[in-house]
Amino acid sequence: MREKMTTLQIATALMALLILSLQGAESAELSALEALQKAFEAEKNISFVGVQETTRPLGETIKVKVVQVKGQRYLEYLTTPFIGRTLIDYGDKICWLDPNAKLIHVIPTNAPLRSIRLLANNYQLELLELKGEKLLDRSVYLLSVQPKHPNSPSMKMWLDKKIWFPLRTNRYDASGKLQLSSFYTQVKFQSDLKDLKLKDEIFKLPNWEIVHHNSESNKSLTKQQIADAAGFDIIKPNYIVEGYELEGYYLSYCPMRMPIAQLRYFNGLNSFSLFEHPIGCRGMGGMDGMGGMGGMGMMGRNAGRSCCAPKSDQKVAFFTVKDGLMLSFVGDLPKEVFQRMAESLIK
Amino acid sequence: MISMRCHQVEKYLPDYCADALDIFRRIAIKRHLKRCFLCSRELEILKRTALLVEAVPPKMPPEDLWLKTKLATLNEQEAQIEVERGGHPSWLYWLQKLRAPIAISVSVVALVALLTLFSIKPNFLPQQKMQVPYNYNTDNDNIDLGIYFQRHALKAWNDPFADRASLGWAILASDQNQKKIEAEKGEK
Repeated sequence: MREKMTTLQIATALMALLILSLQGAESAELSALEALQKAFEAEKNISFVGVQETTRPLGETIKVKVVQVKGQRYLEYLTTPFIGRTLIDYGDKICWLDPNAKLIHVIPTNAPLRSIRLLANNYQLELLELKGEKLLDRSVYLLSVQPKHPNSPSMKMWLDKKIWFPLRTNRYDASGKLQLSSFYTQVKFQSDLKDLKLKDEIFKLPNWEIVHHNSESNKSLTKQQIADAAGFDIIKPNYIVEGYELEGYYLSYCPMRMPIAQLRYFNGLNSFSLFEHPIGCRGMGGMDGMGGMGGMGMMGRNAGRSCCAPKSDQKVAFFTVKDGLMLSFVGDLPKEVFQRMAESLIK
Repeated sequence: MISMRCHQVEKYLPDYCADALDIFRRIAIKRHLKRCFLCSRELEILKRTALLVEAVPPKMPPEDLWLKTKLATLNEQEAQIEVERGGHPSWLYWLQKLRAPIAISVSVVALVALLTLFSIKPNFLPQQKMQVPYNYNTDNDNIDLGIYFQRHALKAWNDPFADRASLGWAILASDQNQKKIEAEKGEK
């Protein structure tokens, strides 16, 4: 009888342990997704003042003063060549201030802030508690975002334990190589700020001339609407790299006012664009009488000249010509993947 | 009065029969006929023939005879002109003889056939395709890439966890690059 009791007790204890371990595993998985959601909300909603540094693979560092209040974000660049240049994000538009020319460039960004659905679907999340490790004297979690599919970049975020704000973000390319490391060297959150009203002042625009960039449409259209507006049939790749979805069709114009169709594909963390325009457009491709050989312009005459473009934007552009259109892929994907998609282009 | 011989009278007998001769020739022929049995007989045959012809009812020509004759004449004249111009082959002559609708139909069919032929690109012909892989780095600048990357960066602005400091940098950089290229073009 006593032996039976002991066996029963052991069995009950084992069952309890099993149930507890299962619950623990489930809660850990949930907490990673919840952490992602909380970080997503915190990053766009929490008011703060800070200095952010972004280190690029070639060693270049972008230093920027950041003020975020009520969903609006103020960025002031502190490093050359854009030292003193300011960019204000009002949520529905970006105002970029040019102090030399006393101009304010207004670029609409009416696209809604995209959700983390795709990110959660396409990436494996893991939340790690880093005991003893602190950033800016704050305890942090490490949220690892690893792709489920090949040819996708990955990310690691160090999240504040109390408010889930991402204090550091490392981004890696598809091969796992570090592409970008962004972190705050100083930060004061809303609770630390005594007078946020003073900070509201910086979101007021100076009395400068305003330049509206209306040609840059951020409204996603349908394929037919784009075709009608652009005057040519849109070509889509039959093969799309795994995990990516067509996020939208956009229409814009080159400097020569020729239509450019942009197809944007997104996997929750990374995106690539397919630009399409007639090869006869001299504003895009076809430079200096190269006509349909527009892509050669990139490799020939203009090669080897100085550039102000960011050094660590290791984006790949891949060009092909089909049915009278110049098709250009742009994004953080291997060249071979773009090539495969380019070979599958159909109307 | 001039006396006439038989071969001279025979020449004028049809006109004599039709009463179409002047008075002097008519008298001379009449005298000859009085004394010449053969010519008198010839006259009788002529008169009988005329009576027979008159007895036959007149047959009217078809109404489009004139038009057909005129067209045929024109075609012959044109063909003759073409031949005189350089001796073109006969197929051109026959082509010209085709009516306009048939000529138009043939042209349309030929045009469609040509278009179909050019739209089908056989594998053995060189394809109008160019693939230029290009790795974006600081050693290259181009207005095309600047515009592409700027627009790509703008679309990523509202992505979850977008690094807006880098994206803003990219937007400013591409704008500055474009201004530089435009300034260089202006100087040229």
